[in-house]
Amino acid sequence: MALPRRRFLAGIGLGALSARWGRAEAPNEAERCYRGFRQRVEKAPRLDPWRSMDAAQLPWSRLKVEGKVPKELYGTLFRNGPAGFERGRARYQHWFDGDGLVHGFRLDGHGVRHHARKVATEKWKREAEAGRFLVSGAGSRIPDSVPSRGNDDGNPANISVVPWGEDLLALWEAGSPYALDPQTLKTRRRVTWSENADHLPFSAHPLFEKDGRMWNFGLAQWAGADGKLVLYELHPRRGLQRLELLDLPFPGYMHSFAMTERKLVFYVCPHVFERAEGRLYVDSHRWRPELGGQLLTVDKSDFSKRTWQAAPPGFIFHFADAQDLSGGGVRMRACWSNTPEIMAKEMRAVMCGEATGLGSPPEVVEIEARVGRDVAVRRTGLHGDFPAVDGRSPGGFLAVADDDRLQVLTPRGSNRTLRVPGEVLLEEHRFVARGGQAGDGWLLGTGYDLAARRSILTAFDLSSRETTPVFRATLKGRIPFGFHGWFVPS
Amino acid sequence: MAAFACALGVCAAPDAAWATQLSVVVNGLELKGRVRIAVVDAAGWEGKSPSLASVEARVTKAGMRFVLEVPEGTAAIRLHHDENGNGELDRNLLGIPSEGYGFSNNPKSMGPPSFKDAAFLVQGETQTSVIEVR
Repeated sequence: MALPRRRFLAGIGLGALSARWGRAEAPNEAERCYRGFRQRVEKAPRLDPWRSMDAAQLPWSRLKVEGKVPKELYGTLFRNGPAGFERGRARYQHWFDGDGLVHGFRLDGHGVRHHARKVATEKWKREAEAGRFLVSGAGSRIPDSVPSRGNDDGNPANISVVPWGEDLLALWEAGSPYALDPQTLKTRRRVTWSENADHLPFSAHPLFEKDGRMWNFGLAQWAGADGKLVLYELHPRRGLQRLELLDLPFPGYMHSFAMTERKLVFYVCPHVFERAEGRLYVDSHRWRPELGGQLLTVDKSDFSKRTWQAAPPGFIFHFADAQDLSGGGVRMRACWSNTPEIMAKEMRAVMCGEATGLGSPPEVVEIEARVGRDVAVRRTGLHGDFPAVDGRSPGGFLAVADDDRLQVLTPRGSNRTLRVPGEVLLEEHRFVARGGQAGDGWLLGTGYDLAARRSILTAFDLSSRETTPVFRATLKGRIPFGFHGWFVPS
Repeated sequence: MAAFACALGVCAAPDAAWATQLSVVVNGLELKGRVRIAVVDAAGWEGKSPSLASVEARVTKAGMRFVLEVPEGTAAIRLHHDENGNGELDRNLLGIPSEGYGFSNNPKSMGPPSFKDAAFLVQGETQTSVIEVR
């Protein structure tokens, strides 16, 4: 889209800029946060995973393996997460804001090796050259910030990583993906799907068809009267197939979505963006449960076929899976919180040493939206986040990470708890299938050993009665907690 | 900082008796396309009157300087870096500019700044305004 030059000169403003950051003048919260974290971290091993990783890369290193790595797990677990939290004495005050660090854990007959590299985003390169942070983050105020053109000026590419063609994509949610070399993890380029998709928001949780096509959305709460949703359909070779804008009923927050065979499903939660001069993005939200939530169902074959349904108020970061119901409805599973405290407060408190972890984890719920009925939310009593499922069998087993354990909900409705012996905090674990039978496979992921103060990679056999891992591989040091990963078999 | 190129464009010679030689220093340009600068008053900001002065030049350096003759009074500067030289301010589907731009005072506001955010008092024989391209 372009505007004629005469309109620019005639005085047209620059339109709905996407800057999610407000002014960043004093007080210097960045240094206060830096001091607060430093004071607490030495005596609080639970804060170790939020230490800043300042190096641009971690070279290949071999992990000490206890147990045996199953052949079916030979491959690479990629993982992304915020890691560069500090420059000088300035520290980000929100977990969302650290510069992305992408890891590769390579598993083979010789054991496990690890390397990692910061995503060389435009933001990271500019700030590395300047030797200081230049722009405030989604939830972090930086002194003397410089004007930014739009979201991508502050894009840390730090949430997830997915393979796409010959590239690995490091994803944020409010700006462009970055393409990396899967072998070296070197950054290749910022990705632009098309001229008019340049710099558009692109969520960190795309969903994939069996034929490789990708669905995704971008959330633009600041656009239009009540916010816009960007819908994408992408083909691994042919690129962008469809790009459409939908109006939202109110500018609520969304982090991920769900997909059935026929539909895309979105939950707009009543954590509502209200633009205010000088406020950071995270602080520009107000929790308005009286609005309720809104469930949007979009037909994959025709985006104009869509329905909105009122839903109970809640806050969702992550969906697990979804399936079509007879009669046209959908059923999803998601990790549900009653309030948005995790985003508004807890991810801040832990960054500045005011807490040694996040608060209560969300609860796994089943959301059922039948045609002509109210949306129902059924609680399971199982708590945790970062859900893992076997994508081949929606409604099958589901595992979530909760502090030092993985909680598994079996298809028969019973619960199992998996742990690493000792004091080991567990992060997201990905499901890796063993064969053709649904739910048969491993949960592979990372964790942090509080006693050894080292990071680990571990895997649990879902088909075994054992509640301890089949192997544990220990790094020589620690790496920051990550958000999301992806396993690519060799 | 890179040495400045000095492109001189004196446009829209003012009727007012007093005019200021306004140096506009532009930083952060990528070496491509053309840069356009318009100095406007409040009515010009709204598109209701022509610019007080304007200049256009090929980008040859990351830091450039332009001198415009501007009548004394309250004014604001708007800059567009036409990176692909198509004469238009390119935007994406949501209207976000995909080319460089900037304003006097370098306002950090969310969305387009108001005239008040970018306005400054033009006065005296010479004056300088520094714009960081976004």
